[in-house]
Amino acid sequence: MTDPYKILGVSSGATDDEIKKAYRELARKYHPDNYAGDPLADLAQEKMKEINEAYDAVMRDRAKGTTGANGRAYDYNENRYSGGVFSRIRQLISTGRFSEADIILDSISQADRNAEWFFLKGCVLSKRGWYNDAQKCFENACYMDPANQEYRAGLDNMRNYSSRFASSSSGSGECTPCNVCYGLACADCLCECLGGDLISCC
Amino acid sequence: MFGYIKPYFPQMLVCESEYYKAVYCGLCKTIGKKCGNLCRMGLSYDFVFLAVVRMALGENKPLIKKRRCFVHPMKKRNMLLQNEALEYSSLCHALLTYYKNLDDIADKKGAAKIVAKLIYPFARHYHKKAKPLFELDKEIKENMASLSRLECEGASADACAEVFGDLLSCVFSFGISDEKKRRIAQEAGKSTGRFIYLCDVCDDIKKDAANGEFNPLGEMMNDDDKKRMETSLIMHASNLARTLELLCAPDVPESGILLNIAYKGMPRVAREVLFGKETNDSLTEELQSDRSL
Repeated sequence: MTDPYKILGVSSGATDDEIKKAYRELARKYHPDNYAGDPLADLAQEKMKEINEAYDAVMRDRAKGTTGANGRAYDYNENRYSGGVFSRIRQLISTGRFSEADIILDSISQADRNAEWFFLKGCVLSKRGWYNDAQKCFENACYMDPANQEYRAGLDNMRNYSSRFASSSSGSGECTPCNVCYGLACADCLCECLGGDLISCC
Repeated sequence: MFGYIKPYFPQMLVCESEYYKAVYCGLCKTIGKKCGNLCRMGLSYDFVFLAVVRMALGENKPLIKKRRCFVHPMKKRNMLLQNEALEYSSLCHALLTYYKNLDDIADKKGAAKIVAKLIYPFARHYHKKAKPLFELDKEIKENMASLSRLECEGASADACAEVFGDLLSCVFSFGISDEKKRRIAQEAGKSTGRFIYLCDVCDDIKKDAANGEFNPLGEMMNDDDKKRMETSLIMHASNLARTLELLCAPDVPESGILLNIAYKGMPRVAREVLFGKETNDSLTEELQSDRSL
């Protein structure tokens, strides 16, 4: 097995606090919420598992009995969200079946393409990485239904996420809890809005 | 590929910057050996990025020596000695130069077309040198064909960028047998390709309109278009950053370079392409900003 200290990026002489700090930074970086909807999510999860195991191993090695205070803060549960045609599409999107959702969306005639259609299309496009077209769809949805919070959130989340990324001066360390939420908010603007609540802190 | 994927040097550690330059020199020299000295002229940052990613994916430790080269005869420089990643990147450079040239001959008009035709014999020569990658060559050819078909149909920039992303996804991941590493390379290539393609169409928009050439973004960009495009470009950069984080570890010497490129270099390039160079912070502002990495 690989040296757990090496995985955490600390020397074996590091203090408990240093180890905790290193663990916390790594855990934030590879937290599943950061990779929600990412095609490499499973690799991030593996990495997270490795880090957790390394941390546990180090702590077991050191504390020998004084457990409890060193519990990990980053266990997580995967959230699931559930939801005419649009609710069917929402269901497909929330279960990650984007290409099916896209086919149904495209089959809807031009005349029936309302604000909701543009919003959902935007979700599917952004999932595919067509961010420019996705933004146009979100803008369209907001234009057609300016009062709708959900559509507005779809657009804002994407903009906020990117401006947040661009202005973040740090590559690794400075990952505040709120940052995690931004990642979450963005990835989840696709699915979460469909379920209801947006994350309250962002 | 046109040099959009580069580090932001002011916020790089000196050792990382030295390492990066050593890769650059090593790649330049390798291209000279593999494909001929003329081919070295077209070297861009993007291929250095490719080499760095391939090194981070590989197992071998980098070997750097002080060497002289005829481009800079006065002083010995740090140079990464020829390795697998450099060889691969130099052949890819030859291949993509060839396809870029074919594309120019087909699309350009006027003087640019004549220049492209004059370069063609050299480009064909590079193509021959890249024989060892004939399987990759086939994939690039297919992707280039569907790209020009999409461009003819007037597809959206995102649609075209997706195809170019797939092309680079092949380039980044070709020949990697480890499944996890291959997937990381594929994703990295995807984001990189989309970013490069979109930067390139933004850069070309004025020129294309003047020459009557096709541009998927239309004839001009207003402020809304630019804002939207900025968000898109940065989304691709952030996707790349997340992918590269999976590659980075304390014992991977390339980590700092890769993260600098995705977190600092690319957002900066995006703004430069869209809003011009002067909008970026001055050096003094840089010194006052938070630089923790």
